[in-house]
Amino acid sequence: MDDLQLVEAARRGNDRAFAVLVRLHERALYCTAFSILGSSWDASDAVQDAFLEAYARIDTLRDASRFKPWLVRILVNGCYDALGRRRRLVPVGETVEPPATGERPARASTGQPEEAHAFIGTEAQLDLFRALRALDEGDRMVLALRYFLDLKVGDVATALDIPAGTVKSRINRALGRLAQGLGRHAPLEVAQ
Amino acid sequence: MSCHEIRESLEGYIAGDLDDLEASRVAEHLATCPACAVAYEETRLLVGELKDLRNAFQPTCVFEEVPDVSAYARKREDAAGREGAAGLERHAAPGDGARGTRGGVPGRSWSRAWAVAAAVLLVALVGALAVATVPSLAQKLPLPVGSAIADLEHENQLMRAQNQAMRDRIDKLEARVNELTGDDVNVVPTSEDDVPDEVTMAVQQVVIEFITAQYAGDLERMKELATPALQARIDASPDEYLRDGAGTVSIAQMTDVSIYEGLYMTFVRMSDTKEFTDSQYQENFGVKKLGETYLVESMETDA
Ligand SMILES: [Zn+2]
Repeated sequence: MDDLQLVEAARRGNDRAFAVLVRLHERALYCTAFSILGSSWDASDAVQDAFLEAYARIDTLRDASRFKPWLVRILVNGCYDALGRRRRLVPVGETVEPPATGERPARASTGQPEEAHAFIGTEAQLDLFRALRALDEGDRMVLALRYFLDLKVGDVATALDIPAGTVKSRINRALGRLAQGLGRHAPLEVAQ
Repeated sequence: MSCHEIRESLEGYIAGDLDDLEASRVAEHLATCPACAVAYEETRLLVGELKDLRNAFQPTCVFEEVPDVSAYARKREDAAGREGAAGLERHAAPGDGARGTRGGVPGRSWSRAWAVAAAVLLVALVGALAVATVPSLAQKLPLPVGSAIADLEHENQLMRAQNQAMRDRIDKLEARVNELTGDDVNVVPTSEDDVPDEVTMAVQQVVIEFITAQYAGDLERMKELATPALQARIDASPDEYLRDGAGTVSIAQMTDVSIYEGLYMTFVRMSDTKEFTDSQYQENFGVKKLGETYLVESMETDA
């Protein structure tokens, strides 16, 4: 079954089809939210809220083939909301929480939600993640949508409500900054 | 193509987004320009690393144990009785998303068995969520249980039928209003009042004619379309009702008709070519049926 069939089944009220959609997209959404929000708790919340909203509103999705861009749009809006809330709450810059490692921390006493994802990557991947997190919001947003969610440039544009040309140039710029953050030179710039 | 242009296209080239002609131009350039070929390799590497980063996050299983649903089960027990339990067992067929149900199942009492059945159902319904990991999503999803599934399906169907009927109705009204005004008017549903479509159309028609007369500066026509009460007010202060200095009117949006204390109400948003060019101008109409004729009883400008 592909997305289209699953979405159509979910719209007919088939919860299991929806659950399969959750499983298919959940990890990519989580990585996206994490790279945008920088906190695994917030990312889990954002992904969960996005799925709940999608579940509640799946009737309003007119074109089933547009499920993924539609879902991403919901997620991105949720992330913007979360960033807005956080700015109101914590005006002192952004905190960057390192991804959790395989060990599941005891969280019962703090009332935090269960850690949903463990970081099992390499040192190099941790560096890459940190470099990504150090980019500004717009840059890491386009990279996450493009590479974690595999969206076409046009769909990134729709999700972020900016022109496709802007998406392209922002991706190029973000790749350059990411490379520099990793101590490499920006490959898309022509040396003078 | 210059090196600069090639660099701009590299990301799309790697993603396979370029058309054949563009892609072959990039490929030709890469074959002859060592600097761009290096840039291509570096970009491809970076993009590959980014895509791989997804896999550095491993979902942790959240349904390793049977969720504690005893309270939930007790509630269902009161509500549903034994038939419900049979229904649950049917849904919780073996192998049906049983992942995650391993772990203690110390069920003894009937109600405990019920809890386990409900838990198995929960996992069955959200089978995929057992490996998905959004922790409390499964608990938050309003999962239908037993006979509630049928109810929900029925309700969904009813709601869809209602929505469809509403959409059809608005489409019909819109087509009619567009015919009357020559504009592309968006008709907005406001209520589920039982105003028959013929009445809605008659009310919208008299309102559209009234607006046309306002902008044409045709006092006589306006009074023909008005109740005696409004005729008197027009006579008393015609300038409040005339719009003949405002250029050409264009109706942007009109509500369907609702009824309030014997008065048919509709709101119209419009723009004109002089004063209000951004569709922010609104007139609220009240229409009365006198004998067989619909006449404008009141017209207020909305701030
Ligand atoms: Zn070159």
